[in-house]
Amino acid sequence: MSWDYAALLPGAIVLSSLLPGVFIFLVREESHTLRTVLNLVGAIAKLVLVGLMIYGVWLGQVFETRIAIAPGLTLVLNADALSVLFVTLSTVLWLVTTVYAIGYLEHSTNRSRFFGFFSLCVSATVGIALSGNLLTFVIFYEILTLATYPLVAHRGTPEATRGAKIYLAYTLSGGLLLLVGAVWLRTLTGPVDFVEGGMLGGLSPDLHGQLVAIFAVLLAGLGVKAALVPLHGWLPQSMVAPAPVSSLLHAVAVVKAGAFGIVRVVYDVYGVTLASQLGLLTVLGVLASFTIVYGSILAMTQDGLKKRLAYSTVSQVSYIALGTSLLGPVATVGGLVHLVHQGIMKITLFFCAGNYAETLGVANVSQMDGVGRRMPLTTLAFTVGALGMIGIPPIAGFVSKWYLGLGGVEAGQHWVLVILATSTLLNAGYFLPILYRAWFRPLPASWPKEHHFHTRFETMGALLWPPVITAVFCLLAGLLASAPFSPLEWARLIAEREYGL
Amino acid sequence: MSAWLLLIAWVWPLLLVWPASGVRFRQDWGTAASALSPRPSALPWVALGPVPALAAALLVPVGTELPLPWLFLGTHLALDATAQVYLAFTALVWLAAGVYAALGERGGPPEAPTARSGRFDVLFLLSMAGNFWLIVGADLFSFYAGFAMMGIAAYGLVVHDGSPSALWAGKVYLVMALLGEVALFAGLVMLASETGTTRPGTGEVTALSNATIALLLLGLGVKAGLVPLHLWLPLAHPAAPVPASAVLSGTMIKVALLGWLRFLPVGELALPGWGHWLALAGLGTMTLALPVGLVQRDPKVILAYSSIAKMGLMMTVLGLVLVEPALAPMGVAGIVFYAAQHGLAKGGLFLGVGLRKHAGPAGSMTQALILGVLVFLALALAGAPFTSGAAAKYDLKPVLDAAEWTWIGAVIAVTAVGTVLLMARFIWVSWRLQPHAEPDWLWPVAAWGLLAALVALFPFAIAFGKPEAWLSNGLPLGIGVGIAAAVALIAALQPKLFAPFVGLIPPGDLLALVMPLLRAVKAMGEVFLEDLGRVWGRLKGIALAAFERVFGTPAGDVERELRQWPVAGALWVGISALLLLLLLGAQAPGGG
Repeated sequence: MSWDYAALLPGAIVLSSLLPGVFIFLVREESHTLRTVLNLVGAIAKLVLVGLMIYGVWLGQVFETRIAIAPGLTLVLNADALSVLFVTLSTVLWLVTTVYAIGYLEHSTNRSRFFGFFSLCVSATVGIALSGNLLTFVIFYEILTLATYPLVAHRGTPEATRGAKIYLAYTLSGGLLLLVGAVWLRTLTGPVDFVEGGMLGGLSPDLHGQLVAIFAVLLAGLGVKAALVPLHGWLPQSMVAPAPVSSLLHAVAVVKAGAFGIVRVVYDVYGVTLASQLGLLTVLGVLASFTIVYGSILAMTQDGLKKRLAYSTVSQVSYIALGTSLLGPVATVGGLVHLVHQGIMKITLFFCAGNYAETLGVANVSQMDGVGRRMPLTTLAFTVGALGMIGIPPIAGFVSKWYLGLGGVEAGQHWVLVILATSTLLNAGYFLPILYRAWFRPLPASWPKEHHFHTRFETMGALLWPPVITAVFCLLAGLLASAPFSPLEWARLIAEREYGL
Repeated sequence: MSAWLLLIAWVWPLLLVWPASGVRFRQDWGTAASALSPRPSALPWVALGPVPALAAALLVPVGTELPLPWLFLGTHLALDATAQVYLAFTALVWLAAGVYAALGERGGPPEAPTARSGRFDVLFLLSMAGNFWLIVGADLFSFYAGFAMMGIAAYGLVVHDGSPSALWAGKVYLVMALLGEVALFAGLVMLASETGTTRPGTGEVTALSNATIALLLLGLGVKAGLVPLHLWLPLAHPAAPVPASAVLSGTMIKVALLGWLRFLPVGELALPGWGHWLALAGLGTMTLALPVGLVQRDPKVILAYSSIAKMGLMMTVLGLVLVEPALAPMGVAGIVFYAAQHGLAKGGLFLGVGLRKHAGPAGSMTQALILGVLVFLALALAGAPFTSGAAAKYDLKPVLDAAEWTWIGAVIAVTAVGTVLLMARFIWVSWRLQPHAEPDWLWPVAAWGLLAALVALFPFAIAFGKPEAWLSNGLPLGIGVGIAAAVALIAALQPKLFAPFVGLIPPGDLLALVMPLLRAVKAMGEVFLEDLGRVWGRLKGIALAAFERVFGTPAGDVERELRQWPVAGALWVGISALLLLLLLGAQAPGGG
């Protein structure tokens, strides 16, 4: 009995958003209620299933769905501690984003198409999280690319089409490189399963040259989605997408898929010891550090709020890669926990940016004077997210920063502190002026395009509560970091298993 | 049970944030322009903030611990002797300042620059909570979290009135505070790595690396006003509204000493190099601050420089203790009591300046009383015999006497004279202030009177059985008063003689030298970035052109058809159905 359930659960989690997604395509545009019900039923069902899985994995249960798609090619969905971290993040934020998107797209067109692809996008993300081998990962990675393209292009304006094309050009090239790398690796080793501690450790040293080359190809492929400089060009361009899409792209789906892939390749394919021996970690560390600083510098020059946030994502996602590039469990914890922390903080910021645009027509930082007086709850949420990004305790971002810094020092890489300090100052440099404007400058005489929703609150409920909830998550993830089942504790569990402690 | 007071002490001000803010989240947004009410809440929330902390300082026995491993990164609240004294004087200064803020500062239309607002109260409470948290938290996370919360919220207090000078002061403050925080973060990370604990001072002592010590000294040195990291202090303390200045000078800068006492191996390892360095830096701080303070016009600026000088004295003593660990028991107690005495007196002086400006018309009884108390507080700060200043300083003497630098006693005596002169200058300037009377100052004056009474009673607490402590420090005071009297006499007869000196050095002293340098660096950086941007732009142009050539061409018929959503949708349905079938099929042979 329990065997069946364990084998079905990973598949069921993917299907819980895939099936509603498929049906949503068929829902008529006007059937608002039906579509909402489908969306929410899928999101809640997934949440329940994930809850079961967390408990099981914590107890050490094995969940695995295997499907042979061709002789020698097996689709494996497998839940280890690392998958659960990413699955949980996607599932929780999907639910919140769905609510937000329903509010956000209240009066827009093509909603069935939007929510259909939206669900597919989340299914693909969950598939990536649960992939048990490299082949499965590549498949879901490609599906994700294709499912997000229509979302970026959703508005259909020339700008949106252009942004979406750039997005597609980048991500398809990245996907191609990933495929090449995966096939190449397979020719050397046979099926590439993800194994805690890595599966290439036993390979003969003659192949090490090839392994380095394969790593470069894989990293280039994954680096596109993870927005490692110089492969980050698509990210600011895809800011033309509607706010819920940007939130999802930045916090959960696309960039995280890339970062997650890097984590998988380093820990579960190469193994962190081998990667370190081959010098791959150094390359990754340098690339990540450069991206962290470069992204922040560019963020300072942006006036568009969403663009500034986009460059901030470029910078912050590389914290994950930085944590991965440092040898030692503490840094691993820092990188992995930031996978979650960056997600909840950045989604908060994007929700808020969407609220400003929808409610007041404010899209640029220079228009944000006094916005805190008009939209106090939204701005409060924004403040929590922004301070968290800077790494001000006790918000989640500090926890990541502490573990990254400590991990760097423990690994003997003291320069990490310099990178973190620089990044902190730069983050302060582009977030604090926003907060200053919002809270300390006087209100303008009128807003660019104010919209009254006739509610008792500053904006529509479906827009207001999602960022407030995620801001509370940011605070809780920091304040209860040492409590059981916190992201930090879960990241510790993963690190223990990866290092066999 | 009383252990929980350690948690309530800093959570309580946080709980008050919402009622104090006066924000209305629910209202008719169609007509209302703003959520922040022009008047803050009518109830004196900010005055209630420090009450549990004060209760904790009085009721919680020393040695109480409250481990909360689930909170943050593992919180460990505890009250040792140092923390108790710190908590007591910090809570008292916050209480007096809170009463002043809640009942003295006027509410008013939001456009009035000095009007107190909900925002001020919120930030006041946040800084307060941070200040208490870092005192009662024995782990370094609590310290850092409280430190950051206090430091960042205080920015809003500094810029509160929105004037260009306040904004400038706030900018300097924030930049320097962030630099300090970043250095402190790095220092604490290295400390945690080197000692293997997040509760320093509890395990066996491990030698810290030089880099760690340097980072800790730099990071906290900004807060302490260590020259040349003091640039923000003479700008920010006067720019803030009176109650905020009182806590900035009275409690917040003292936190740096607390941090050093906790994180440096005080009394455990001899650090002659660093100790001498810190002692010299402290002497340098005093040497700079006293003369610069003497030529200031604004009484609050004079007080700010006096704070810098006093911090310099405490740093000197701490440095000497680091050189000779055997002095630690006496030295640490001396520093802590001195910090407490200075905190109470300086808080009282700042609040007194505000009262001098607003409570009662010129020449009234109230004003005479206020001036009298100000003179008393200034004497206490200058260390006159029979005041708390003399008693507190008496406890520092053994450390100074034991120093291998025999000349240090003479230097300290000279600075003592300097302090007397600075306080004389302060009284002179305050006396000449023109009060603008406003009604309803009873409560702030009462709270201030309580603070002054505590300053008067302070010696009974620490020097009850030591008559020699009461009488110490008479000589520098006599010399100082003599010089001050002579100068005052000459100034009265020949007003032009000293006029060129007044305002000779602007507040923020070295900043005037640093700014042109920074501006030059910025200009150069901009030129460089512009060039870089141009090159980058050209490269991007080439890449984009290539991209447009490939993707900009109109799509062929097949592709366009595929792009239509019914086709794409149908394809998706097909693929999904296939996946489903595969999944179901996979179960049949046994699931692998």
